[in-house]
Amino acid sequence: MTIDQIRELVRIGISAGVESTDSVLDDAAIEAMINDKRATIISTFLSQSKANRLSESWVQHVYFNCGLNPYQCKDTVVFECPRAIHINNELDGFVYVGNVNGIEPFTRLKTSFMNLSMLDSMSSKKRLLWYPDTDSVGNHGIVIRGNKFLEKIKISLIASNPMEVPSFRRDVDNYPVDAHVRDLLVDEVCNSFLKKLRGRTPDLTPDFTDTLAKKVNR
Amino acid sequence: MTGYNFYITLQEKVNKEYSDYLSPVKANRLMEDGAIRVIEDTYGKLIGMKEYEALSSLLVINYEITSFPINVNALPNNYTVLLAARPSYLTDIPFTYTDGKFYSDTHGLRVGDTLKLGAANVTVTEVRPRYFKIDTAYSSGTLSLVLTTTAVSDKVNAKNVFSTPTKYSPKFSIHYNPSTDVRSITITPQPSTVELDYLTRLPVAFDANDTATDLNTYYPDFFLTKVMDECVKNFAIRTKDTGFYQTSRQEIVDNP
Repeated sequence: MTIDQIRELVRIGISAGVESTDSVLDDAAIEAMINDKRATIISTFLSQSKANRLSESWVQHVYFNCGLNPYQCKDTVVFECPRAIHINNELDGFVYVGNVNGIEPFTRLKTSFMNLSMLDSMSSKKRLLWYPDTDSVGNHGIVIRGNKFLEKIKISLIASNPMEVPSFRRDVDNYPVDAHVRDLLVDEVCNSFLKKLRGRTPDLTPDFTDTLAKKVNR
Repeated sequence: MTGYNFYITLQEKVNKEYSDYLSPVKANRLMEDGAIRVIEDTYGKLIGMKEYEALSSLLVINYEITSFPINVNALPNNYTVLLAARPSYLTDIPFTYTDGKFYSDTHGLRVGDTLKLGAANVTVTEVRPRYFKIDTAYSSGTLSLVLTTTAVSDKVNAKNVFSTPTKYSPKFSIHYNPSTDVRSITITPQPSTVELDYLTRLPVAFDANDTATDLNTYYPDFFLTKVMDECVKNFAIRTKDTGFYQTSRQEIVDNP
């Protein structure tokens, strides 16, 4: 299901099934709420689950073909990358950073645990170390130390905003959630909006005047 | 039922004492007024097949437009109300063509995507990270990806960052320009083409003198009955007959 379809499910939920080309809620506002609630739901799932199980359908994969060496530092390369969700002190949304073959992860710096920490032993003898970082002009990226000639990497992550992941086509690609999370997501977003709308008379005909509501109450 | 038959039935339904008020000329105005009100009421409830069928001869569906902004007065069959606008946007795909393959690192295509090759539609048949193929022989020309979305109405009083239109959530608005005397539909951002669904004026007027045109060709019976009830009620209002108004209104309530 694409983001557009999920957004319309939310809209149908809020408007009790009445569809219209006119709406008091903007698409972008609903989508921002969908992205945020997705992060919250997945984060809650992962932090409450002892096994840290994650669904493949939450994860997005990015292949980068060339990196930058902005600092002119020895052995450092930076790949621009979207931000991942935060889970807890030990975990975040980065699932895999490493060789494009998908089975040789680089070792992460700064955090002691990660989802693939058990795969550390599989990493190459000459270890490449990485960590997420934001530079002074706001670019978010993955900094990799150990090989300044590195040109290709694969990153798998649960992104904060799935729309920002390169190669994601919002009009045709499935929004990165499974059916269970999608169901929770639609309910959560509907409830959030309805909570904010509570106390106001419903705008049943979306004309900003609540005329129908007044007629019904009269 | 012809316009004349409609007029005779209407005369029978109203109080004979007021027959002076129902000359054919006045009846025509009454019938037009009644029809407009019923159309407006039905349009507001366009959620079931019955409402669509009632207005079927007034609906223009999938009318394609390629020049912008859209002058509503130039639309066929006398435009009245916009129901839906589905704009299409084209994005050029950069590529290098060699031996049946279109090489591109950033094409972002999926199998089954529709592309525009000049004016023709072609379909993507194979996609790899570095190249793609299409179902048509290629010699020259640019390829553009077609994105079709549904526009929502622009809210003049909502100018926040979330209400900024994009090609994924475009907006339409209807403005009158006093300098050109043109009422036009603007779609933001401007698409390459757009399909409009809109409501027109009555294709055939209710004419009390017309004994030839069968109104059933254009309007279903249940629509004509509603127009009749509306005309009777409006007649009661114009003659300021309170009792008649109440009975005619009750008839509408009993037969919604």
